[in-house]
Amino acid sequence: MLKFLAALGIIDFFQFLKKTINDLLPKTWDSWQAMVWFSVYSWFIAGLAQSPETQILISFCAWLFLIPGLHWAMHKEKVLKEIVTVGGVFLAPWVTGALVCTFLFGSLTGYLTEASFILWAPLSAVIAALPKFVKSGPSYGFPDPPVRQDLIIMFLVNVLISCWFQFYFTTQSWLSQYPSLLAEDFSRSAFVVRLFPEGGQPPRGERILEEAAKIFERRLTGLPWSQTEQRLIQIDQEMKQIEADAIARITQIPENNLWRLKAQALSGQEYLVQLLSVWQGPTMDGTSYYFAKSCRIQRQPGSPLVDLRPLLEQRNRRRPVDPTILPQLTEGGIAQVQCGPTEGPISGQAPPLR
Amino acid sequence: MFDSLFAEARFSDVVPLRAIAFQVLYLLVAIAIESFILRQYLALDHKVAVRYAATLNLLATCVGWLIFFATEPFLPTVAKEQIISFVFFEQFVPNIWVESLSSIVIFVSFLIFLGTFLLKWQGLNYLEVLLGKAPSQNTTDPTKEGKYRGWKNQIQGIQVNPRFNATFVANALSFTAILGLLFLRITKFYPLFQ
Repeated sequence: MLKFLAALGIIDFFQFLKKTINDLLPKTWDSWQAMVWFSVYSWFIAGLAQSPETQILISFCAWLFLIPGLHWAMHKEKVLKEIVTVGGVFLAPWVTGALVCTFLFGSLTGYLTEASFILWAPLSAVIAALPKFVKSGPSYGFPDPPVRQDLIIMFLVNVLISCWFQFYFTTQSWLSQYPSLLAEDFSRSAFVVRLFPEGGQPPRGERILEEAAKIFERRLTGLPWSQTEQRLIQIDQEMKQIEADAIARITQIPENNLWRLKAQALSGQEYLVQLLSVWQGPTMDGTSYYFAKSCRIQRQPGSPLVDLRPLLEQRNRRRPVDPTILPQLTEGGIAQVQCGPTEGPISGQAPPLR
Repeated sequence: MFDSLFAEARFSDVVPLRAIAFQVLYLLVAIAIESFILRQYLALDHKVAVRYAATLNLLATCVGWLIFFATEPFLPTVAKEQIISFVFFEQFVPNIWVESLSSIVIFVSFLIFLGTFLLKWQGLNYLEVLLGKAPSQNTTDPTKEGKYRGWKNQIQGIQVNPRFNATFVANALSFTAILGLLFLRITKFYPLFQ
């Protein structure tokens, strides 16, 4: 029976397990195992604590035990040492640096900050360089020139890595200021790649157009027909107002300046107005694109609700009603607006306006 | 630059991996060329020359990045949109700056060339001080010897300064090589012979 188990390697496995557990238990108080267990104990107690202040304080202590404990372990235990040595480079300082950054700029602030990524590499380089400044004795002093040269290069390489992280966060901030860029294809870029190319995001022009159509509809519906025609003749001025109102209703980001709202009355049909939101920012192939929406404006027989008009006018246009228009209200009928679905994005220059 | 440092880190799947790959490539090319020049001009050991070239180029790259990060928040929106367009799509947007863009690019490139040269030259001086090496004997001290020379010799005295010469030639050659690589990349999109 024992032989059978040995053949399966089960006994070996249990012996390995026993040895591992034995290794993890502290032999003396001044060992890395003791530090790590103190840390585990502190986390446990922190979990039991009721008030958040106590939790923060105790987990603070847990980090203070965990970081030196693991740093010590990586220098002492042969197995760990082999794991963190990649291509002949001992990476323990970078693991410790990551822990320190998570502690200082992640745990204490409550969320992972950009600083924890940007400062990780230089901080780790400092941790890696510190032992070189300790001489046998022990005394402190500058290392020999060849070591100094290597330390300078190592530090500069780590500063460069930190610059790459900073550049990553710079591009992220650009993308949050100009989110419509996320709809583009970045395959031509010499700087960035997209890890999941399918996961695009629609440009915001669609949403701006929806808002604009709503405002357009509300501004014209129920308006006396003669006034409606007047507004359609001066549609460029009308669109300026609608653009300002529509953009005021969406998130305020720098990208909004790159969306233009335009309108044109399609020829042939009486009052079929096409609203366009045109992207004037950067695109992959240099050609702009736009979204379009058609709105039909019809003359509705019947007179406007005279007693409701002042209220509507005040709410929508924020200015008192001109009493001289009241006589016009009873003649010629009123406007009714119906907008269709949004089309697009349509690539290419927006159709020329009248 | 620093106000966002303690903001919550944002992530997306748009990663500057190509920038990193190209930067590593350009650094390797520059270090290879410059170490060769430094070795020739300064009579250095091969290993020492490679380390000097690596230090100087890494220093120039890091300082360049830091200047970019420091100025980027203060750039006008039109300039920022051009940079964004260039970074994401390798071309410029037709906004009001597009007319003067080529002269701006040439001017900025010239500044970068001059800046990296001065940085590498001074960097080399400081590096040798940091490594505890006395300034080499062939460095002429123009103030001291100027007394006994005419103005012609004085100018020659500066020209002979081997570190000045070595870094200038090294910088010029590595810039030429990198420009060549950039040119190869650009012709991929804008073929010269169609």
